[in-house]
This record gives sequence, structure tokens and C-alpha cells, in this order.
Amino acid sequence: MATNTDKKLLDVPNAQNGFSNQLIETVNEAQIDSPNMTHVATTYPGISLMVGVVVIAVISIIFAGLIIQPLFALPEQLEYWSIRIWGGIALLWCLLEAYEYGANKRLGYCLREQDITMFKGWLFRKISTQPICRIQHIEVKQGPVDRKSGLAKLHVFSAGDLTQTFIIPGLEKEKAEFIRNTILHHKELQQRG
Amino acid sequence: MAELSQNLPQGDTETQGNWSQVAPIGILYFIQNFIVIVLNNVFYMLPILFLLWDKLKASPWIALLIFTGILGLVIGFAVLSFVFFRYRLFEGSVEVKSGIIFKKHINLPFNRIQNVKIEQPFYYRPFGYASLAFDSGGSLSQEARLIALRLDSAQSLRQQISENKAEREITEARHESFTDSSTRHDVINETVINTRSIGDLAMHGVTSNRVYLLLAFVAPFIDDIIEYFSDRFAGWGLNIQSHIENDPTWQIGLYVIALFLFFLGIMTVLSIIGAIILFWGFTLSKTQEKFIRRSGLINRHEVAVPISRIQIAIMKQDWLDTLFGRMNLRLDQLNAQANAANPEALANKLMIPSVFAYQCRDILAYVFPEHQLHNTAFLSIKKMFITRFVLWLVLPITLGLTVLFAYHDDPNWWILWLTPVALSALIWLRWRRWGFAYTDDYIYIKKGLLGVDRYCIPVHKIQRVSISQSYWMRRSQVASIKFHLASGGYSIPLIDETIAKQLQSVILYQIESQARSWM
Repeated sequence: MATNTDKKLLDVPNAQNGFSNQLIETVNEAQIDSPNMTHVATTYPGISLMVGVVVIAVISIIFAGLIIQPLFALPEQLEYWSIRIWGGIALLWCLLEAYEYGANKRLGYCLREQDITMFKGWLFRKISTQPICRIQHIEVKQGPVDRKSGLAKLHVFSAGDLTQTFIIPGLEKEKAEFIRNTILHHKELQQRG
Repeated sequence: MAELSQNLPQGDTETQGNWSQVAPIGILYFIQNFIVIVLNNVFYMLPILFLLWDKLKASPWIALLIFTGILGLVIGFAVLSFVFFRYRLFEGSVEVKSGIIFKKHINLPFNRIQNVKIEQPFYYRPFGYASLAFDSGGSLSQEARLIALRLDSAQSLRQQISENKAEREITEARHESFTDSSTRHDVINETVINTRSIGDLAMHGVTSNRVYLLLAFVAPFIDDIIEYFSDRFAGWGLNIQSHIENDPTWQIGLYVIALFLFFLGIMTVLSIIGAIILFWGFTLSKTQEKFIRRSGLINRHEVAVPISRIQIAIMKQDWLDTLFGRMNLRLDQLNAQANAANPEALANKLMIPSVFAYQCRDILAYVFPEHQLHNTAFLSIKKMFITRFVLWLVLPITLGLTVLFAYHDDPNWWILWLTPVALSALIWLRWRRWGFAYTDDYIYIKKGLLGVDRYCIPVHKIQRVSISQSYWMRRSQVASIKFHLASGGYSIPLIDETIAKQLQSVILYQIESQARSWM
């Protein structure tokens, strides 16, 4: 078998040999920029940003409290430097959160008959596709914030997933469960028992 | 299941269904384990030791008392661990009960066993004992280990388990398709397909650094060694300070070079010794569905890996290897990258040291029959790779140097200007080494700097594919692609966007339409 050394492109397979990999319609279809991408919940970017800002604010308040409190005085040098260092970290963190916000607005997924794809990132865009027949198990997780806002995270595990896991955050709970059930009822997984 | 438990333990009937103990020599194994635990925790005890040092000096018998106390505890715990250790083979699974205070019960069905390892620590070898470890492919804590069995019964047990598995698989196949399979009798046939001579091992020691294997033994004493030698130097009346001040520059240069060569020589010798200790008497043999690797001078290791579990073949060549035309072939299984940091793990890997290209090809032919790695022309990646690294690495360093020189106009520092030049050259070399190729069934990756590593990835073992692009990459229609396998992730950076997308869809099609198992 010859390798494709020149830029000869392989034929992109489509419905041949009874193989089909069509889009599975989800609960309510909302297609915005990429033709096949479904965005996660519209509330998710805002909530995620809010959580980030609250965390920064809480740390800042604790920090300010430590400096202002009248019980004991911190060494002058320490105070001088720690304010500046924390200021720098907080600024960077805010910028990261802003980027996260932009990235989350572009976060989406696409469920097909044979695989699930995740689209994420803004300046650095990443598209990962997980074939359903290679999935080991699935979890729908909800943190406290998720529960309040009716969102959920979908964890998809495949073999050898120690460092890089496939997580779609910010899905509406029904949607996450719909995806999980669809995948669990996939015939490959059913056969494997 | 009932049928299973009947035909399993032909050799040693008394183990059937009853919990049995291992041989008393297993106490040594436990002692070794506990000593390792104590040594690992010595670090935390150092402050206490430091505090008590004066008192200990004054009355050394306290130290002796503490030492014997610890030793006594270790031996006591080892004996207790041995007493509580029970195992049985029951209804098609290995069961191990262990633990003194925290009891642990492991139940590992035969069909979940990924590997069976036979290990012979040096203190077992004169008595013909071995320990048998069953790897479940999950976490390490789920590993079942039969501490001390006679070597021959360990071997026959492993044989039985693999036969049992093979038989089960065959009967399953019969149930499905009624095809007659004659593999049953071939299971026992074991042929040696590769051995390594001492010359090969020495070569391996020269080209790959195996010093750390020795360092692991030496590490506890390193302070004493350094102290001893520095005392010696003082005794010889060597005064480095006065030499540096008085001798001409070229002479100091010579000293440094001589010293460097001296250390290089020592390191090489140590590395050769390390390689020989680890790979002594190396054999790679093949049964119907397994590779078995045996090696080791002091501790003898035996690793059996089902061929179907091998996820990827990696051929590593350091720059010295490229001169001698040798390569290290590694056949990785599940989670290989996660364990890579642990030097001990090397002993448990399917690694064939310093083979020639043709031997490598012959071994690979058993694993991935249709692979074409040896006559593949690789496609290069985009030149953007060079620009990227020059932009993010070389440019900042050059700017920093410029600022430095603006302030300190010292002509002796001109040599620093070589840094950006050398870095650029290395980046170019790295770019030159990058390459990839693909067929319908295999993906080949080539990378390296001075040496070169080649990866052979079977498409049907891929678990997930991801494509990533930065804003600038999107503008110039370039993308990076990453393949996730059970053994780890492997990526090709900066290739044509259309190729990446085509590759992705072809791979997905292959995986999803064939439904071949990756195990």
C-alpha cells in the first residue's frame, strides 16, 4: 500500500457501505456560526464570568481586610510588595476571565450518529472529536453553581484519558442528559455490554 | 463459569477454592517493601535527626536502639503481612487478601488481566522463587501480586491463565460463528525472536543514558562520596583558586575540557553498567498472541504482553544511535506516558534496546503486519514552525541581550551572541526532523532534534482526534492535529488545514465504520 506522500488527498468517505454519520437533532436546534455547531447554554458565559469575578473580588476583599485591620501591622516591605504582586495577578486573572468569556461564547458541540465533537477556544481554537465506539463511560456532573442555574457538565472518558479529558461545560441539564442517553443507547456500546 | 473453575488449576489442586499462603521466603519481599517505605520517608525524619544529633553523638547506643527498633518493626510488619497474605484462584479469577490493619481484597477476573509479569528479585533467585504480578490495566493499586511462588509453578500458572483466556475466547468465537480454530495447541509454542548480546547492551549504554539506574542505588550515599573526594583533593594540595588566578586562559580551558572528558568517560562506563544490569540476558519471545520479554542481571524481570494490547510502536534514535544505525524499539500499551516518569517502569516496558533497523522491522511485522514505516517518504510540516519559535523564543532573547550589551559593554561577553544563532540552528534542525505520512491504516510521525524518533500509529487504535488552530494559523490555513491513544497523545504541528481535516474525517471513518477493537 502506497503512502500519500504528495499532497494527494484521500477520498472523504460518506454514506458508503451502509455507513452513516448524520447529525442528531438535539432538543432545540440553534445553529449560529459553524454550520454544524450547537452552542452551549446562552447563560453559561455570563455565569462563568460572574463566578470568576466573584472569586477575584472575595480574595481581594480578604487581602484588603488583612491590610486595613487594626489588630496588627504588617511589615512595610511586605505590604508594599504584596499589594503590587496581588494587583498584577488580579489584573492578569481579569484578562484571562475576559478571554474565557469570549471563548465560552464560542463554545459548542455537535452530536452525530457515530461521534461527538466539541468546539472550543477563541484565539486558540480546538475541535476534538470522540467516536462513540471508543467511549468508556460518561458522566453528567453538576456543581453548586450549575445546580442553581440548571446547567451541567458532560464528561466523556475514553481509554488512556489521564491528562486530557473531554468535558463539555455549560449544557442545559436536559440537553446533557439527552446526549448521555443517546450515547448510551448507541449500538456499539450496547453490544459491548 | 463452573466449567472454568474446573479446568483451571490442574497443576496445583490444593489451591482450588481454598485460600492458600505463599512460601515463607515472601517475608523477604515484604521486608524489602517496608525498607523502601522507610527510606522514602527518611527525608521527613531528617529534621528530627538534626535536632537530636548532639545527643546521639554523645550516646551512640540510642542511635543503635532506634535503628534496631525500626528494623524490628520492619521485620515484625513483614512477618505479619506474610501471615495475613492469602490468595486463591476461584471461579475464573485471582483473589488476593492482604493487609494487617487495613485489609485489602482484590478480585481480578482472568479476562481482565492485561499482563502477567514474573519478577525475580536477587534474593529469590538462589532459591528458585518468583513473584507473579497481574496487571489489570487500571490503576496500580488494583494490581494483584502473588508474592512468593516457586518459579516453575509461577510459570505454569501463567501458562494456565493465558490458555484459559485463549480457550474462552475461542469457545466464544465458536458460539458465534462455529468456525473451527486450531490455535488452541499453538498457545504453548514459544519462539525467541530477539536476543541482545553484551556488545549490543554496551552499545545501548553508550548511546542512551542509563546512569540514573545506578544513581538510584548510589543516591543515599552521594553526600559521603563528595565529602570523601573533597577531603582527598585537599590532601593532595590541589588549590583550584590559585590555579584559576595564575594560569593562562588556554590552560584553564584545557583543564575544563580534560575534566569534562573525564566525567563523560565515567558517565559512559556507568551507563554501560546500568544497561547491562537492566538488560542482561535479554530475550524477546513470541507465543501465539503474546510477546514475552525477559531480562535483568540482579532482579530478573519477565513481562508478557498480549500483542493486541500494543497501541503504538516507537523507534527512538539518539544522535549517537543514528551514527551506529541502532534504534530502541518501544511497544507501548495502556497509559504508557503516565508511567514514563518512573525509571522503574522501564523494566516493565516492552522495550528492545539498540536493535538494527531490519530487526526492528521484523519485530514490528508481528505487531502491525501491514506497516510501511521503513519505506515511507515523510511530508514536512510548514515553515511557520520556524517563524513561530524564532518569534517567541529567539527574538525575546536577542532583545534581552541587546539591552544587556547596551549597559555592559564588555567585549568578553560577545560569546553570548552565539545563543540566538545556536537556538535558531536548533529550531531549524527540529523543523527538519518533523515529518508525517499516512495510509488508510497507519499514521507515521517522525520528530527529533539531533536524534530522531519515529512513531507508527495504527488508525484503529486511535481514541480521539483533535485539531487546533490559533488565530494566525487560521489566517494562513494551517492546523495542528493530535491523536489520542490509550497509551497517550501524539501530535503533528502546523500542517495544511485541508490535510488535517481530511485526515480527521478519514480516521473517524475508519474507526467508526470498522468497529475493530483497540484492545
